[in-house]
Amino acid sequence: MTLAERRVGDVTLLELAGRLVYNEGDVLLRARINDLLAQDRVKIVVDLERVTAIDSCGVGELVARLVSARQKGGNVKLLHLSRRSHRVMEISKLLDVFEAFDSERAAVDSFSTPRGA
Amino acid sequence: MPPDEAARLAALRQYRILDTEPERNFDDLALLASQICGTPMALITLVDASRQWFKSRVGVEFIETSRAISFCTHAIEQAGIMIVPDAREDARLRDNPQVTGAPYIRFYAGAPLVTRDGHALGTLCVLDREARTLTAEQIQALDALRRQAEAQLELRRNLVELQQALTARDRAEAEQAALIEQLRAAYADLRRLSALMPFCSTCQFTMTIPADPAAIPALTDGVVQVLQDKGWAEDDVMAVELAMQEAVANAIRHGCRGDRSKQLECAITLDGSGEVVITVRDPGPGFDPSAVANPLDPANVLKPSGRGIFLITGLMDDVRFTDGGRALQMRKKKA
Repeated sequence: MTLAERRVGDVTLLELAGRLVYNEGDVLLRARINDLLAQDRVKIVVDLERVTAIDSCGVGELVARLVSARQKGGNVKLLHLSRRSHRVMEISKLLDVFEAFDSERAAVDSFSTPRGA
Repeated sequence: MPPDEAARLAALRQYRILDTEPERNFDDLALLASQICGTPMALITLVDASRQWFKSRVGVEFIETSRAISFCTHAIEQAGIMIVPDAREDARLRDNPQVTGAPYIRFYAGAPLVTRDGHALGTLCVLDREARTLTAEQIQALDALRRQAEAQLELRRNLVELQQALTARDRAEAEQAALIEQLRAAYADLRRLSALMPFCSTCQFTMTIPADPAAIPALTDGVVQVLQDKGWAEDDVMAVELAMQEAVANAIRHGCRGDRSKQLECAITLDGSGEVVITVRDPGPGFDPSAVANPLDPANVLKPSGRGIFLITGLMDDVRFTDGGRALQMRKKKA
């Protein structure tokens, strides 16, 4: 898996490409988000559009980083859920846990708009 | 001993010059040194761990001497040319058997041959049986010849490095060509098999694969290809692929504890009824599937792990564990 990073204001966008599965992308994602949190960059959007495979380890890693970010007053939100990742999230009942968006603008703006407002 | 002795000897090895045949380029320099300095003997020496070996020699019969009686071993410990007008009066050399006995050396002038990394490998030296000295012009000429000898050494090392690089390139090219040929053959096999697939009423594959996560995509890609050839719907193919990814990753992670030297067995059967049956068996201690916590429980929903089996159950029609949890069998019917 590869991971590209962009900043939009105080929001960090992580664009993943490749396999977010056991022993492939999970370690890289953990390290990068932990780095961001250590720098107090706690508003994170993970773009899954170019993720070709995802499994319970990949999803588990996203959940773990979500928990860490929320503990620091931030959040991990998802962008461009593929059919594959949507299905895994749906079966795991995680669609209610994560905020997911189809547009980058909406994902970034959501950090300045309280949920439900 | 020079303070950099170990590194110096390692550098000497890199030149691959010890015990090689005489070479005109070096011999000419020794000859010129002997003629310009007017000495009956001249040498290009290389100081090895316990000997000094002569790449070129004028007026000297033997090709090497013990380092213990070497003059040059002293010369390489100092910067610049070491000149000994009369060895009988030099504390380091007066008891040397080459001074007290044949060939009765009296005069010695040795210019250290220093590498581009600063290691003195040996010398260009001139020797005489008479006590004497050199004129300023002769010293200057000896130093100029020393520079030429060093240049010859560097040229040699560059050639050695070039040859090594060319050999490495040739080897890499040969390996690449062999790999491409293997891939071409594998692809041809695959195409032949793949062409048969739509006509197979029953397919069965049993594979033993290393417990290496890197092996998973090849396995899942193969199953995806078979199901696509059999006209399965995209969503169902995706479900089987995801379930296999989970099952095999689980077997590697838990059944084999991530030990890549272990092996898994994977059996895939696709029969005439359009049902795929996949069994993944690991060599681990087994486990009790009923003891796995429900990941949808509010207490577990934010946990990072524990979703694999639940996911497989959600994706496939029927999932069961046998052999004390060591084998997972999952089925899905074509829609």
